[in-house]
Amino acid sequence: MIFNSIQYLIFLPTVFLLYWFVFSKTIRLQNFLLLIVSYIFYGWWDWRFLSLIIFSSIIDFYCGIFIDKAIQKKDKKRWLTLSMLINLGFLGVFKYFNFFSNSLEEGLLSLGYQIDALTLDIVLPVGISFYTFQTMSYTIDVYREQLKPTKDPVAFFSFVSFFPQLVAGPIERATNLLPQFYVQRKFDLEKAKDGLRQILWGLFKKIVIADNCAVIVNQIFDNYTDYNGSTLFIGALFFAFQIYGDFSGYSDIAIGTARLFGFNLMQNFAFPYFSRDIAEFWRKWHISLTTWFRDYVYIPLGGSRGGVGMKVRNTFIIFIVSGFWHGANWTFIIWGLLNALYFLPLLLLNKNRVNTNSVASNNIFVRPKEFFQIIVTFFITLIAWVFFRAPNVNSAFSYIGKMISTSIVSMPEVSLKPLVFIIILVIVEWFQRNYKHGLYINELKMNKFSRWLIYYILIIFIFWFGAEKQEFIYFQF
Amino acid sequence: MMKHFIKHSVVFAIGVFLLVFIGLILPNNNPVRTVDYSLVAKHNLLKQIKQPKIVLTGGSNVIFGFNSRILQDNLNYPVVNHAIHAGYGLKYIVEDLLQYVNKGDVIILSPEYSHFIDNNFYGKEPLLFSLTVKPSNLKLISLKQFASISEFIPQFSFDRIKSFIYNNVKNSKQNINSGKNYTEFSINKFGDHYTHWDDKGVDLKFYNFNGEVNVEVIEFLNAINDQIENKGARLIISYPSLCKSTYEKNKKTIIEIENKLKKYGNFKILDTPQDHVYADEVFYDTSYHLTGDGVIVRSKKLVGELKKELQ
Repeated sequence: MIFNSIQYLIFLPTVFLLYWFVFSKTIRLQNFLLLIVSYIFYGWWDWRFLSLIIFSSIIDFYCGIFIDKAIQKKDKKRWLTLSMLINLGFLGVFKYFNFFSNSLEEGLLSLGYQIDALTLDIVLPVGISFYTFQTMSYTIDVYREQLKPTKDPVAFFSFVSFFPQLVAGPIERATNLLPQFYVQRKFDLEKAKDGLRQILWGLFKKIVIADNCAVIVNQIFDNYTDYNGSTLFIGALFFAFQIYGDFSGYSDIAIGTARLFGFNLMQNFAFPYFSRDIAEFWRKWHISLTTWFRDYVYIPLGGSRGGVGMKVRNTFIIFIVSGFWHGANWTFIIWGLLNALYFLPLLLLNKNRVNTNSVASNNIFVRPKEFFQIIVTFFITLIAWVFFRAPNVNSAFSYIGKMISTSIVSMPEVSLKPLVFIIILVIVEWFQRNYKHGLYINELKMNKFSRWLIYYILIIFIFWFGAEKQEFIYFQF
Repeated sequence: MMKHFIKHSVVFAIGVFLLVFIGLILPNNNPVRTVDYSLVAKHNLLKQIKQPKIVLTGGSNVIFGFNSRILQDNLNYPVVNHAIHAGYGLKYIVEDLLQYVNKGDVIILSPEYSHFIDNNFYGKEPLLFSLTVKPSNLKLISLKQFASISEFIPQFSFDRIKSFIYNNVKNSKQNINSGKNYTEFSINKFGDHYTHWDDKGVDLKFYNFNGEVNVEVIEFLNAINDQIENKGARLIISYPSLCKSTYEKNKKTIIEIENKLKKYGNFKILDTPQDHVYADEVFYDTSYHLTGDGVIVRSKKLVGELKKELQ
C-alpha cells in the first residue's frame, strides 16, 4: 500500500479510529493493532514478503535475549554474529547476489575466462534495506548494553514493522523507537494537527514536485543522446528535486502519520539543498541513514580518532557502503565515491564542521558568500545525482560529458513546467528552514481561516497539478 | 481534544469531498466532442449488423491501426472497429463488446502491452470519462475494478473543473466539428479513425512498459473466451502494432507477455509480437498509432493471417 493511494486514504483514518477508540484500553492492545495493520500494509504489496520480515523479527528478538543472557563476551558476540549474518544474508541474497554473480562473470570474461554465472530470478522485497538496518540496530545496541532487550514480542515485532516508516524509513534506532512501544501513548492535539500538516506537505512534495519532475526526467534520461546540454542540465536539476520531493515527501508523510499515533520519529531531512558545503549536506540529507553508518560503521572502524589516514579511509568506506546500500549497481558505488571525494578537502583541512549554524541565521536573505557556497554545493551534488539516476556508469559519464558542453547555453528542448513548482518549493522551504518541515505553522500567529485557506490551496494544487502517480523511488532500496 | 480533532478533520474532509464532487457533476461544456463519444455509434453499428461479422477491438492501436474496408473486401465479412482507448482497460473494453456478440462473429482482440502490466487492465481515468458517455455501462464495473479506478476520481474531477473553467474563459463559439483528429467525427462508417490517414507522423511518443506482468489478465481472457464460445462466436488474439524503437526498449517485457500468453492462455493467438513491429516512420503520434500507410500494411497483413484461419 502506498501513501498516495485511495487505499491508504481509507486505511489511515480506520486505523486511527480503531487505535484511539477500540484498542485504547491497554498498550499491549494498541501494539497488537499496530502489528496487525503494519502486516496488512506490508502484505498489500505481496503477502509472501511477510515471511521474511517475520523471520527476521523472530531471529533478532531471540538474539537480543540471548545476547543479554550470555555472560561471556564471546558468547554475546556469537549471538550478535548470528543476527548480523542472517540479516545481511537476506540482503545479500535478495539484493546483491545477482550483482556479484554478474560482476564475477564480467570480470572473468575480461581475463579471458568464460563462465555461465548463476543468477536468481527473485523479486526484491520492498523496503528490505530499511527494516533490516532498523532491526540490526536493535541487536547491536543490546550487545553494546545501550538497550535492555525486550521480552515483549508484540512490542518488538511492532517496532520492526511499524507501518509509517517500514518501507522507506526514517531508519529508526531501537533506542529511540522501541521504548515508545512500552509507554502509554496519549493523544496530543497539537502533535496530531502538526502531523497532518506534515503529511499534507509531504504529499505536495511527492505529487506536485517529484511526480511532475519524474515525467521529464524519465524522458530525458531514457533518450539523453538526443538532447542538448541545457536539456540534460534540466534533466539533472529535475532529478535532484524529484528525489528530494519523493524521499523527503515520504519521510514527512511517515513522520506525520506516526505523530497521529503518538510516536516521534527522527527528522530525516533538514532542507539539505540550502547546505553550504557537502559535510552540511550530509548532516541534512537522509539523516537516519547517515547517522546509522556513523554510529555502527564509522565509529567502530575508529572514526576520526586515529590519524588523517584513518579518517580518510573510514570516510571513503562509509560513503561507498552507503552507495552500495542504495542498490546493487556500480552507479551507486560511484555516487558514494564521488561524495567521499567531495568530502575529502573538508576533511583534510579540518573544515567539515564549519557550517553547523543555521544558514542566513536571523536574516531573510542569504549573504552573497553563503549564496555562492549553496550554489556550488548544489551543483556538485547534482553531478553526483546523474550517477544515481543513470542506468550504468558509461551512460552517466556520457550524460555528464554531453551536459557540460557548449550546448549548455542553448534553449532546453523539454517542458519547464516543473520549474515553477520547484521555485515555489524553494521559496516556502527557505522561509521555513528553521522548522522541522515546510508546513509548520505557529497557530498563535495565524488565524484558523488563513490556515485552512493554505491547506485547501495546497490540496487544490495537488489535484490540479499532480502528475501521473509514480512509485516512491526509495521503495526499490 | 480528540473530539475537537475529529470534528475539524471531518469538516475539512467534507470540504475536500465537496470540491471533488463539484468536478464530477459539472456539465461538460467542451464544444469538441471527443472520440470517446463514438462509442454510441459503434454500439449501433454492432446492433445493426445481424449476420456474422468480424469485430476488431482493443485500445487505440486498433482504432488507429486498421482500414476495415480492406478487411471487408478481402474476407467477405462485414467489419466493425469497436476500439477506442486503451485507458478504458481491457476488462471494460471486452465486457462492453460482449453485450453485442452474436453467433458466428469473429472477435479480433489486440490488447495493448500495458494491459498485461500491473492492474492496468482495470482501466484508468479515460474509463471514468467513458462512463459519462454511456452511464448504463456502470453495470460492467466490478467492485475490484471500482477500487482500482477510484484513485483516478479526484484527478478526473479536477480535469473536469479545469476544462470547464478553460472553456468558459475561452467563451468559444468553436464548431463541434472543428477538431480534425480525436473527435467523434474522425471516425469512418466502420469505426476506424481515418482523418489522420493522409498526415505524416508528428512527435512520436515512446513508451516504457514498467511493472509486473499480471497473469490475472490471461485468466480473465480465458474466461472471456469461454463466454464467447458459448455464444457460438470466436475469439482470436492478434498482437498490436508497435513502433520499432518502443519494441526494442521493451523487448524483454514483450517476450515475457508472449510466453505467458502461450503458457496460460486457452485462446487462439494469430501471430507474434514481431509480426506487428513496424518502422517508426509509419507511426503517427504514439508508438501504437499507425499513419495511413501503416494502416494499409497492417490491414493487409491481418487479411493474410485471417484468410487461413477463416477457411
